[in-house]
Amino acid sequence: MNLNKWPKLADLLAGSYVLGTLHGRARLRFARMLRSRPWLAARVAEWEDTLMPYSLQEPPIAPPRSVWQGVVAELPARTADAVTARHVSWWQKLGLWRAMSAGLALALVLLLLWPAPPRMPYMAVLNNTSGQAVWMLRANDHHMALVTMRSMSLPADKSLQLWAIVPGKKPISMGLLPTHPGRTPILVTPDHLDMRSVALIAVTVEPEGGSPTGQPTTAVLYKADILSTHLSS
Amino acid sequence: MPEVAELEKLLQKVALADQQAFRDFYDATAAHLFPVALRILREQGRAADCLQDAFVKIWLKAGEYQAGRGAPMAWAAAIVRYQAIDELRRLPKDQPGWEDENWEQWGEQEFPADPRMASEKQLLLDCLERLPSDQRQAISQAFYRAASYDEVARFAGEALGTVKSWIRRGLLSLRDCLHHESE
Repeated sequence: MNLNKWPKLADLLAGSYVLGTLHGRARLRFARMLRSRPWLAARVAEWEDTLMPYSLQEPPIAPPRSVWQGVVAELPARTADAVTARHVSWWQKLGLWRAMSAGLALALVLLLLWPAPPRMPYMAVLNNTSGQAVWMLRANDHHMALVTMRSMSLPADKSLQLWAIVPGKKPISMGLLPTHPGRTPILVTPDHLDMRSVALIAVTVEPEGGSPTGQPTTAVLYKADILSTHLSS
Repeated sequence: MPEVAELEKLLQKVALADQQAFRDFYDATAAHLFPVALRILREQGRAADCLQDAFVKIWLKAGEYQAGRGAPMAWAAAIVRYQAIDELRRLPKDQPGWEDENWEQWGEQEFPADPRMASEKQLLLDCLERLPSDQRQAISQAFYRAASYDEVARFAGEALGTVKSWIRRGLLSLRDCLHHESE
């Protein structure tokens, strides 16, 4: 359903989600929708900012010490290299090498200059139509970070949205792209997305805040292969 | 309540896998967040487990927090709340005790909050005040206890459909009021 056309309904669902009266499957579905629709996530954030201060008004109570110990024990090792090399056969490697562009060469240089941890063995460089590298994505199985290398001008009512293309599946939103030079922190990939299965990333121009449908609504503007830096292993 | 700017800075570091920053964030917020879980789950052990799971999520999701959103505590409290709601829904329906506390008193205590939160809260209180009392009570109860429609209906002695429509209409009026007032 195109929730964007029904702002009242979208707000009602967002409110019910924060309130907790959205239940069961509807709740799960809504939570899934949030990941691919930044504008809807923004509505939820608004409700959270409104309602949550209300739930924080009780006198503080220190939790048992075991909580922190439990948290530490469970922390996924974000800095550890938990990534196993993708199995790439020799002929695939040849293909990849042939496909290597100037953009990739630049990216490899940047990668060498990168501060060491965490390991991000997958990467992709998105070039603009004149062949200049604009974004570089680095990722491991479930985390990603993005470097924006040059400014992109864009009408105020448009956003650029990044998509992961997994063979045999519908495009999966990876969020909106920044349009000014800078780096994102390390982000968690949408949690149903395993970067190992991603073949391509693509960019489309969408209404401000991202595609209202959760799927690309315009043709692909830029795209890039996901490459593994484990080529030599 | 901890400083907003300080917490935002810590979250940015947590997003870069800074464990010390995470410890500092935990120390600054855990005692405020624990009651959020406790009130919904009503049992120390369960609330402690819930808080633990929520903090693992905070570690993973720190990068999603939009810097400048201005409400890191609201963001973290929402993560705890969703975790608690998920756990509550897994419990048997007839947990004793949720009727006996006086949930109508909530919102009346005063605790030092940061000014931004205080003004959000005041705005919400004002808007809640304007709702018809059945809508207000149903929403308050759903929120305070994370009560389901069923539970609110049982408590109010009303039909399920009636309670659903109170809550839906109430939320929509609340939304209109909040948008109107903050402009």
